[in-house]
Amino acid sequence: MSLLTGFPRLCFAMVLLAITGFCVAEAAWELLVVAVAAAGLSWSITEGPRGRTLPPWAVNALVLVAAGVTVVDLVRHGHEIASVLGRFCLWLILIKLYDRRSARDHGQLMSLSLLLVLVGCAHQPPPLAFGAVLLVYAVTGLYTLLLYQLYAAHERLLADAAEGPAADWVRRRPIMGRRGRAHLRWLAVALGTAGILLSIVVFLAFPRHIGRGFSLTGDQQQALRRSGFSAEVNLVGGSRITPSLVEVGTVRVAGADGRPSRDGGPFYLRGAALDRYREGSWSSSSTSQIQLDVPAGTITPLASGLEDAIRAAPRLVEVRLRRPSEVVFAPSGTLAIESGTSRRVLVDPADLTVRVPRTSAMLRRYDLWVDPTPDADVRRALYRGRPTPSRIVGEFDRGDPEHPDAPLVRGYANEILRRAGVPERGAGDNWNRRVADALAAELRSPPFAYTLDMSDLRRTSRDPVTDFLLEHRRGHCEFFASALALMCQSLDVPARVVAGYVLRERDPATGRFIVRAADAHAWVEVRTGPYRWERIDPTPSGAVVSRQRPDATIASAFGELLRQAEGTWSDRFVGFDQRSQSVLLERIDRGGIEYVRSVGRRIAEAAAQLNRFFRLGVAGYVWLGGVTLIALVAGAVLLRILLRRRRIRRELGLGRRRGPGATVAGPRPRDVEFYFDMLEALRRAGVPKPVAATPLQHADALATRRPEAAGLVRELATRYYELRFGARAIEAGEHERRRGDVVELQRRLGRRA
Amino acid sequence: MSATPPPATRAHGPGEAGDPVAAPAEARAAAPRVRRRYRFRAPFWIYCGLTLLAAVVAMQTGRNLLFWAFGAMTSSLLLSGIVSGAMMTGLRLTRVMPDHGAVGTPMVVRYAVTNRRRLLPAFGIHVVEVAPRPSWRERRAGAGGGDAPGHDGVAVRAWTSFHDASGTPALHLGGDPPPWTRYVEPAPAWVLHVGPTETVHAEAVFVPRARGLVELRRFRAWTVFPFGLIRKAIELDEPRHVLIHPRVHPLRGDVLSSLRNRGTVGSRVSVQPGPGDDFHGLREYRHGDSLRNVAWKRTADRDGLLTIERTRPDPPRVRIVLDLTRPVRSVEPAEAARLEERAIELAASLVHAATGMGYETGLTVYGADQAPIPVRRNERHRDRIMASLAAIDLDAERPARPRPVGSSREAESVAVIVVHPDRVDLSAASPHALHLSARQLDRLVAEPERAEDERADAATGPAGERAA
Repeated sequence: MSLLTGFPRLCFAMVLLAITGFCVAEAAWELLVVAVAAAGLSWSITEGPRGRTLPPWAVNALVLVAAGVTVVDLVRHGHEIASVLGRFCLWLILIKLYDRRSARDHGQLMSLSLLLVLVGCAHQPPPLAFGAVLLVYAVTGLYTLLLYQLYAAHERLLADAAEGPAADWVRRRPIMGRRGRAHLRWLAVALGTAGILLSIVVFLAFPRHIGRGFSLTGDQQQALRRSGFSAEVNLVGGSRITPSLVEVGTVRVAGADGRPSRDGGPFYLRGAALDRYREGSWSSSSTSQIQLDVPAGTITPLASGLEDAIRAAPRLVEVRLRRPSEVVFAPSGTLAIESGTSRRVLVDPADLTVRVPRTSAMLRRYDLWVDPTPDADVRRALYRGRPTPSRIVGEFDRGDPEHPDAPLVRGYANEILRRAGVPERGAGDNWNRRVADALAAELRSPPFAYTLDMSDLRRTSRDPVTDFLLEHRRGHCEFFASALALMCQSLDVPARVVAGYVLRERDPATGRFIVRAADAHAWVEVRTGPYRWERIDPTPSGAVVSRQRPDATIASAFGELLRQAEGTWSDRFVGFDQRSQSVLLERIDRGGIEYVRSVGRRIAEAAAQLNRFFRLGVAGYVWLGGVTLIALVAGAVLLRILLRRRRIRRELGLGRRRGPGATVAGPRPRDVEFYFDMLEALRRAGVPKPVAATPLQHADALATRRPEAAGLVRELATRYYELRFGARAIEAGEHERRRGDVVELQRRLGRRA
Repeated sequence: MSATPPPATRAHGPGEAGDPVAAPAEARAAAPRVRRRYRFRAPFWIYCGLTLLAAVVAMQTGRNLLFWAFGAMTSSLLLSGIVSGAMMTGLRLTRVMPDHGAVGTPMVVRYAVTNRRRLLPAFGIHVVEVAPRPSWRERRAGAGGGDAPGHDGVAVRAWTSFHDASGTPALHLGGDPPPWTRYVEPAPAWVLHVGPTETVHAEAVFVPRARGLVELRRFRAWTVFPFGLIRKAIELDEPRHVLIHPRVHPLRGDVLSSLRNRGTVGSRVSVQPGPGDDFHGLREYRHGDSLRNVAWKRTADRDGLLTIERTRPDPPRVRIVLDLTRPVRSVEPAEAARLEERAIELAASLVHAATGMGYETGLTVYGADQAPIPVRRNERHRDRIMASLAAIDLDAERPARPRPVGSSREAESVAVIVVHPDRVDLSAASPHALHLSARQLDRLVAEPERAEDERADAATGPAGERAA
């Protein structure tokens, strides 16, 4: 009984957790206080022998009132259907808490709490606190749900018995075996573990792109983005970006003397250079990539003729990533790379970006030799003597009929130049720089504003950059960079968007920069010479501020811990999208293939070693294969025999006995194997021995149904009695005789036996 | 109603070997067929709807928590099926029937639930008796009624009409309910937990409604554990019988004590020596005899001691005669059947009361093909008489001539109580017999609060009121 007595308390806790979770997801703290107080009060009012509940008419009236309030709520907040539904569930729960509490009412309360939690799940973005509440709710809910099945059944049994004539005869205490509570907990743990694993599999494997086709609110598919580096810039999706403080890695910048550089930053790490704009997204137009082998522990120049520059390189950059990446993050002016393991990299001579080919393992730790201000010869060597064109033919170029917004952008850029006093028509690298500076200065000043939340902006059919420039004038770094690059390109100024990290936070203890996902940034590079591109960051300076760590105190450490947890939550869970899914699957795929290959290599090495040891030569592999095959077959046969013995022992109860008679040795499974085979034969023939009947009784019963087999069954059963209970020993050669009897029995019973 | 002739009337324990009533050989030899059934309950469909809704909303909105919720709900569905399936297939159930039941008295039927799994415990196991559906072959053959094997689950050998204790027909339900429900009130059994490799007995408290032999054939064990979504059941065929005795009413104490006034019942002396007071004879002294019993005067002229032997008092002897030879024709058939049932109940009550007071009792039934039961006194004998009463088939052809009351020697030393359904027929027994009618049953039944007092009075002295 004590197992079930705790159920109402658990159910109440589950409801409280659901209320808390919903209010946390809604960030409705006032509602949280009121609802939890009302719920807590209900416990002291309704529970106990002197508890009082609301009469049914009052409950019905309150439900009607709640429905009316919900209708009004729906009219006022029609776009927040989930919130309205959640609030309605919350009112119903509070009303039910003051209602009577039968098993059915408990079930309704649990269902409402589940609905409330589901509504909380639909909120975006769910905070970490909601995740914590959700976890506790899941654990509590599982155990409570299991307990509810038993509680409800017991209540129903007692209620039915109370109405019947045998009310006094029905036990009030439920009938249960030993250690029921421990078994229930064990089962809950097993179910919870299996459920979590399965749900994780479903979560990871569920194709995220399926719903796009029939989505009623298709633009919300990409509404949420997490901050982090992406090798492409897409302005269409992501109306709201969640800043993630997950640590991506660390970067140590040392001077020529090897000492850590004390430069406070920001420090820019280039990841991808994108110069082609199409339908709201940027990509790279470069098609030529040069393959470069990087031997382990060797400083490998990115181009030939850089040896002297590398020796005089004033800066060493050590990049340590938490996860392997196919993009080599490098600052501008990188001359050489060194890795602890042999790798192959691809260097793009057009934009000097470095990446690892897809067929090769990714990089996690590497060092870079950097000259932040390379001279002309070094730049020429880096670009391999191929100067970048003075004009990039982009789709926003003048005369492109496909983009009607291009004249608008160009007109807007000319207006800015006019205001800044920069001639609209010019030439030369200096003019390029002046144009870019003027446009960037305009973007950094009001009314342009930096924001990560653009969910309140109305999307039009125009190009997102045009919208940004002429309509909203609010956006994140990608919009600023895209606007500057497009305006430059519309004025024939070669410009490209660069995606990477801007490092702002330095660990005071180690002097290393800490790279977080939120440090992902986009800026612009403008051509200012045949081999020279200059970085221009049009994003308002307030967005890229130094984020220096505070001094290490307990509070700051705890805050950092919370930030880490929040970052992990938003990065790994909330922000898990199709891209993360594909990356994960690719990683698993790569890992699986590598594992299979490594196992194959080990087997081959072991076989070769054995072959060498026995000096068998080439034919030895045949011998080894044969021996392995025989061993496998022998193992399978042995396993089958063991399983059969185990089954015999279990079916006939030959295992170790407990209690009185434990010392009495029973027959070996092999000795009574014939009896087991006899039972199997009878079962297959459709005349199995009933559990309640003894073997001899069954033999008697068979005398009328299958007289041809009854005698043999009786004989075998008698012999089984002797061996099993009569302490008789098996005779020499009896195994074969009994086996023959069983075969004879099978023959008599028919083919199926 | 079925009218299968009654088998042997001995009372047997269920499952005894060679017992044609309790465990026919065919039934024992029958294979314990286990059928598995799945039933998707309303919560299952609601849950599936919620899961689909979560999936659709997750796909529409891209909310990762909803994807996780969808995963959790899907895995719960999967685990529910796996766990409940593994739980039920690992169970072994056996029905343990009581020795007998009595109308109006709750009867506990136990189900031994054994969990054969080594790790997985079983929770929330319900056990109910069911009426199995006929197979498609039987349905095709049109086996729809009677005692056809497999029909309605229970091939009830109905030897009696179905009336409850108040005399009203026990069952007036529409349709075709399982026949055993005419005899017993169906009741479920439930066990909360059965540990791995453990056996727990679930109890179902049946309330018998009418006397007769009940055969329970099939029962179902089911569970909705762990999540209440899928009801997984196994059904087992295990024919078992139980005999329902007639209802026993507590009679007034003066009913039997009034027999003494009629001069036919009293203290008698046995021919065997015993611990009585009267002189029986003399014998040689044996070691251990009390010196108080030594016949000193007779010993004086002998060499050895002589011991006085006393008589052994015999308890009163009563033979209950149930006269069913003359069908009651003066009333409606239903009322006539009710009266006959009441007569059987009155006879059973008399047997109980007489046995309780230490009388030796015997039974003779006129109008039924049953041999008279001699006068004896013990629990087993009483059960034998009750079984005989339970087995009376009122629909069978009744012998025209009554049989004589016991042997001639016995007739001289027993009191005879003749129970009639309706009117008293004095020719049914000797002139000294006490005649009772079923219509008097209500007057003969003791008030609950006075029953104990009257029983005490009856033990101390005779009461003067004549019962008939």
